[in-house]
This record gives sequence, C-alpha cells and structure tokens, in this order.
Amino acid sequence: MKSRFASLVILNIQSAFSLSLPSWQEFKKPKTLLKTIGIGVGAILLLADVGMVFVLNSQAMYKALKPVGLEQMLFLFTATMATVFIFVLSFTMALSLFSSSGIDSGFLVLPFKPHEMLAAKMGLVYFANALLGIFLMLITTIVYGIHEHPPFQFYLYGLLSALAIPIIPIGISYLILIPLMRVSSIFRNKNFIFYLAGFIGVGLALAFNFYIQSTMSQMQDPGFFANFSDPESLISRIGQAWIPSWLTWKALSDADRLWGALAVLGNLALGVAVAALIALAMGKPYVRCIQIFGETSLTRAKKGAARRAEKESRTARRPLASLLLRELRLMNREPSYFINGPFIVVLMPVLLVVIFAAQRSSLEEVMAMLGPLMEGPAGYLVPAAFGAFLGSSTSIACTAISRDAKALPWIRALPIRPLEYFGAKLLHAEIFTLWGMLIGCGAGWLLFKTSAFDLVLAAILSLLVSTAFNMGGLWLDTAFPRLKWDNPIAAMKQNLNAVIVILGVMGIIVALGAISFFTSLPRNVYALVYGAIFFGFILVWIKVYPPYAQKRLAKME
Amino acid sequence: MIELFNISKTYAKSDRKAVDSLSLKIPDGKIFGFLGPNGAGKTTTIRVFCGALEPDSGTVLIDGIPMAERPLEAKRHLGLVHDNPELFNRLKANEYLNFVADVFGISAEERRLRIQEYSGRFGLADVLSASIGGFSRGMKQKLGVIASLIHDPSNWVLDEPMVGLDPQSAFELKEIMRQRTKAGRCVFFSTHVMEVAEKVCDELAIIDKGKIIFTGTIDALRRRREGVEGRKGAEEESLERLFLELVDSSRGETT
Repeated sequence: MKSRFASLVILNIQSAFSLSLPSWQEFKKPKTLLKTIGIGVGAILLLADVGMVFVLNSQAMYKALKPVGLEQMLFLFTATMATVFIFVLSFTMALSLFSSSGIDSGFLVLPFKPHEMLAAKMGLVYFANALLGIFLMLITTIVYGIHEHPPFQFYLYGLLSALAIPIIPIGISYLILIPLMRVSSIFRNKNFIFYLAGFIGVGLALAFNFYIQSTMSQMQDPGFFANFSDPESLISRIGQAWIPSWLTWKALSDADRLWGALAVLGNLALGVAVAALIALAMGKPYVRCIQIFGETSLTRAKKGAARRAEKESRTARRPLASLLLRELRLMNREPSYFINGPFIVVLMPVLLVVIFAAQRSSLEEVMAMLGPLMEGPAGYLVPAAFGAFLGSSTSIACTAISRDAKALPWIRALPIRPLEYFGAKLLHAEIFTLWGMLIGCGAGWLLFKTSAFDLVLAAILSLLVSTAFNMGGLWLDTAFPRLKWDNPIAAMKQNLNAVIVILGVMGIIVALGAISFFTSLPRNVYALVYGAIFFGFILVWIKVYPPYAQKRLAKME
Repeated sequence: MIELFNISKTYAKSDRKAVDSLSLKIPDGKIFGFLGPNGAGKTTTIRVFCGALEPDSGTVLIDGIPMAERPLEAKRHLGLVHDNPELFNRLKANEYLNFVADVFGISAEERRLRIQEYSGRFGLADVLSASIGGFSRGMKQKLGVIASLIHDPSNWVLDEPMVGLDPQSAFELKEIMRQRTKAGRCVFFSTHVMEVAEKVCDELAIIDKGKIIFTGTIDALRRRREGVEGRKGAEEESLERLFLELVDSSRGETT
C-alpha cells in the first residue's frame, strides 16, 4: 500500500501531464502511428537542438578553462545556471498550479495533513524540473567525461547532484508565493496568474534567446568564456555562495575521494531538510490559500457598468458582426488563447529585436553584405515573408473550430448561417494578417530602406500568403477539429493543426526563398508568380470550402 | 408544434442507436414532459430536433417547417435551454444576451424590454454587466432561460431546466411555462424530477434506450398500468413509481 503522500504525488503527476501512450491496438491505425512518430521525432529534434547549444557551450567553456587549470569551474557554472533556470520555471509552474486550486480544494475533505498537500504539490513541480536538471548536468558530465575520463562515481554524483539541485529553488518558489497569495487578492485571480505566468515564460524565452544568441556570436572567442567563468565573475561568486552549487562543484571535482561522496550526500540531505521545513512551516497557509483561492464576489451593477449594459442592449448588430465580436472577446479574454495566439504578433518582433541586439555587430555585417541582394527580388520578398509569417502565426484560424468545441451544439441550434460562422472566424484571423503586413513592411522600410514600389508588392504578397494560410488553417481545423478537451490550452497550444500550419508557413517561406535565390527570373516576375499561386489557392478555397464546411459542421459530434 | 417522424441517430464512435425510430408530436398549448433514465436518449433527441445534431434518418418539422430543408427558418421558431450552462464564461451576461438577440435579428427596443422583464423576474437585473464566469450554476441556468426567450419563440425547449434553480426561480420558470401554453405556445422539457413532471406536465413521453415507451397523459399511464396488470388503485400511485415500473417492464420485454 502506498503512503497517502505518495498517492497524492502520483495523482498530481498523472493529472498534470496526462501521461498515456496509445495501446497496441491503436498503434495499428496509420493515423495514430504517424502522429506518435511525428511527436516523437519532434521531441527528439527539440531536445537535440537545445542540447546542442549546451554541448557547444560546455565544450567551449572547457577549452577556455583547461589551459588555466580551472576546468572544474564548469560544474559550478552548470549547477548555478541550472538553479537559475529551474527557479524561474518552478516559480512559474507553482504559480500556474494555484489556478487549479478549485480542484485541489476537493482534497481538503480527505484525511491529508496540510504539509502533505503542500509537499505533494512540490513533488509535482519537482518531477518536471528534475528532468531539466538531469538534462543539463548530463551534458556537462559527458563533455567533461570525454576529455578527462573520470571514475564511475563521477557520473553517479552528477546524477544525484542533478536530483538535489531543483529541491531548494522549488521550496523557495512556494515560500514566496504562499504569502503573496495570502495577502494579495490579485494573486488569487486566475486571469492574473495566467497572464503573469505567460509573461514570465515569454521573458524567460527572450532572456534564454538573448543568452544563446550572444553566446553563439562569441563562440569563437576563447577569452569570452574565460571571463564568463572567471572565479571572480558574478556567476562564479553566486555559485560559491549558493551552497547546493558549491556542493555540486565539490562532489564532481572530488568524485574519487570520500569528500565527494560527503558533498553529494550533504547536498541531498540539505535539499530534503529545507523542503521538509518549508512544507511543515507553510502547509497550513498553503491550505488556507486553496480555501480562499478564486473566491469571487459578484459585481452588482454600478452606475457606469449599468449604463454600459444598457447601451449594449440598445445596439443591434448584424449576425456576422456579432459573431466576430464574440470571437474577439472569447479569444482575447482567455489568457491561454491570447498568449499563444494574437500575442505572437507582438512577441515575434520583440524576439527579432532581441536577436538583433545580441548579435548586432555580426548582423550589421550580414546586412551590409545583403545590400546588393536586396536590390533584387529580395527587396520585396523579405518584408513580404516576414509579414506573411507574422500574419499566419497567430493560430486563430487553424484552431477556430477546436476552440468552439464545447459550444458547437449551442451554435448549431441557433439560426446562424454556416458561412457567417466560418466567415467570422476567418475575419478574426485576417485582422492579424493586416497587422503582420504592416509590421513586415515597416521592418523592411526601417532595416533595408525598401522603396515604395517594393513595399506595395511586399504588402500584396504578404496579404495573399497570410490569407491563403489562414484559409488553409481553417480548412484543416474544420476537417480535423480537436473536439474533446478539458483545458482550453489543449484546443490551442496542444493542437496539432497549429503546429502543422506554423511549420507549413515556415517551410513554404523557406522553399520560396530558396527558389528565388537559385533562379534568375526578371526582378518582379517572382511577385507575379507567387502572387498568382496564392491567389489561385484563395479562389479554389472560395469555391470548395463553404459547401464542404456547411456539410462538415452538420456532421461534427 | 414540433413533429418528429421516425428519427434515428447513432453516434460515429458508437455502435448503439442513441435514438431509434422515434416519432413524437408535441402539440401547441400544452406543457410536454420528456422523461427517461440517464443515457436514454433525451438530450440526443432534443439536439436532433433543434438542429444541433443531424439525424441518420427521419424528419423533423417545427411549426410545419422541415428542419433538414429550411434549418434557419425552423430554428427561428425554437428557443432552447441547454443542459450545460457552462458556456462562454469569458463573456458578460449582457454581451451573451445581445449576441443571441443579434442572431435572431431582434430589434434593440424589443430585446431591451425582454431582457428587462425576464432579468427582473429571475433576479439577474443588477448582474447583467458582470462576467458569466462569476455566476453560480443556477444563475447561468437562469441566463440560459432568458436567452432562450429573447426572441419569444413559438416552441420553447428546455433540457433539464430545473437543475440548480432556487425555489423562487423554479416557481417563476413554471409560471412562464404555464403562461406560454395559455398563449397557445408549445413547451417541451426534459427532466429527471418526477414531482415536477407530475405537477407541471399536461402530457408526457417516456424514452428508454432510444425508443419511446409511453406517450400520453399521466392518467393514461395509470390506466394503462391498471389495464396491463389488472391492478386496482393505480390512480393513487405516484408518477415516480409508474415510471420505474414502466422502464422495468420495457427492459424485461427487450431482454
């Protein structure tokens, strides 16, 4: 029989990650098999991509530190960097988990002690973050191991240290969050949590991107890593002051001595002791947070609000306008939809600014070299590609039906023309097509001083490509909508249609870029040819999609 | 009036008919109750005749308008209260009501008057500018009722409408049902609560395993039990008991 605590941790993990593989019977279906292989390959590529960055990083740092005999500083650096990453991620995850306090409140009637409930939640956060810790430490130990051939215990201590590193950052996350939840009602608001967690995630992604970009640009400079890992550098000083990092450093540096074993055991014991103390001390306040979380006080009408309600009921709109307004409200008021959808159009330009800032000197050289190229068709194709990518990457059209899954019976019982229903979805996506086009052309004008004629060509191409992709995405989601989900994130972020469309846009843009580069047609013929292809698709869509969508909507169950 | 002829429906991921050759006539001027155990096919039937689901076979007529051929026109004659009020938590109550009014093409003045009347009766007048997400289940249910009446439909269909309603609101709902039937409108509602059906319904239909096993008045149901089993005193028996016996005997016949 499992202990209450272990049962709760397992339940938390199962419910948070919904870990399940298709059965053997299901694998026999080509669709399931293909989907599983696709997800597996995607996950491996993603891990390999991120892992490669850290491998290169560790390798360069080792080479920079070895000549001065400080190669073991690599462990201190990795442990500290992993701690910072894990702290930000665990803080965000712990914050997000408070939004499910409604479900957790169900456990309050079961015989759990407060500290068991908190520790079980910390166990869930630990499960996710320990994997990251192991991933980062594994890379460093392997890179170091290839060069130095350390004893077996080195790898064992690396693994145990990786397991110890996340414990205290997770405890600290709860130590900060629980008092915040208790004293501030704004932190007990689900929307606020979603937005804050989303923005922290975006901030982390930007910071990570900046770090990767600036590291990559200076990978060839050995002095850069030497400075970075200098014992007097900030990260080294933080590392030495943070006992778990220091213990990791000592454990791996002295893996063949007793001192190494003591350091790794001490690291684990310290982590468990701190976590246990936090769980014991904060258990009751945590349970109180769950009890009071999401307490909603219904706002009775104030004068202003009542006037607005009155005004709203005095405005009769056409069904299409009303459907579009409903789309906009439902999308932008649901944080998980907004952050993973329309917000992308804001995020992508910011990301590019970050890349530009991080690699400014090398990018300026590249742009100077691009000068002659931009005299050719690239002058309008580059801004058009940027605008088209932005305009089609909001996932609005390709998740349109999936997001409405729960409302479909209600929608279909209303006298709504299917054409207006789908039209409102497409119009919603097209608002961002316009926005993407404006940013794409604006970037072209700012960075490359694109001429007015080229900007017009870029604008038309951008609109045609984005519109075609939005139409294609809507078609895809009409044909294969995700109709069963418990969490809105599943309809948007975890929707395969969104992945297909974003990868499709990227693939087509890269393919057209390659064709344009390796062929030599007259300058403006590319605009004519590409424009005609996408315009042709739009015409086919207008002819074929509406009757198909009407029939498909009626058949959806 | 709602007429169903030989309706059948099997869900794509099921090999069992959810509704099996179902025919039913729901007359105007009467409160028609629709009873059945869980999973009997009540909600599927309602969704089929309201146009939310396409039947595999059969015909649906709403005030004589065929749903399959003229769905928009047929739907304009229907007002539906769904079994699940957990929709559109991100919208405000007045935004939701106005969306429904826009879809039905209701003029600004007409909708204002109806919203005012029904929100007053159900005690929602001062929360119309609030987000639906903050409403209790009962309040969401009442909002769904108001939305279904905003276009003053000739056929009012309610799927489990009493769930979550406080006694005052349940009383108001029954009052509105009676008012509408007095005005010659059709009221159709499904329920599990036998006491409500017994007190409110003029006629009822009982469905089990997708098939109608009884249609008529409660008195006719009592007489039928007397006739079938030769029992005296069936007129004293509650609808609940009659319902249970009927479902049991129907299942006995099929097995």
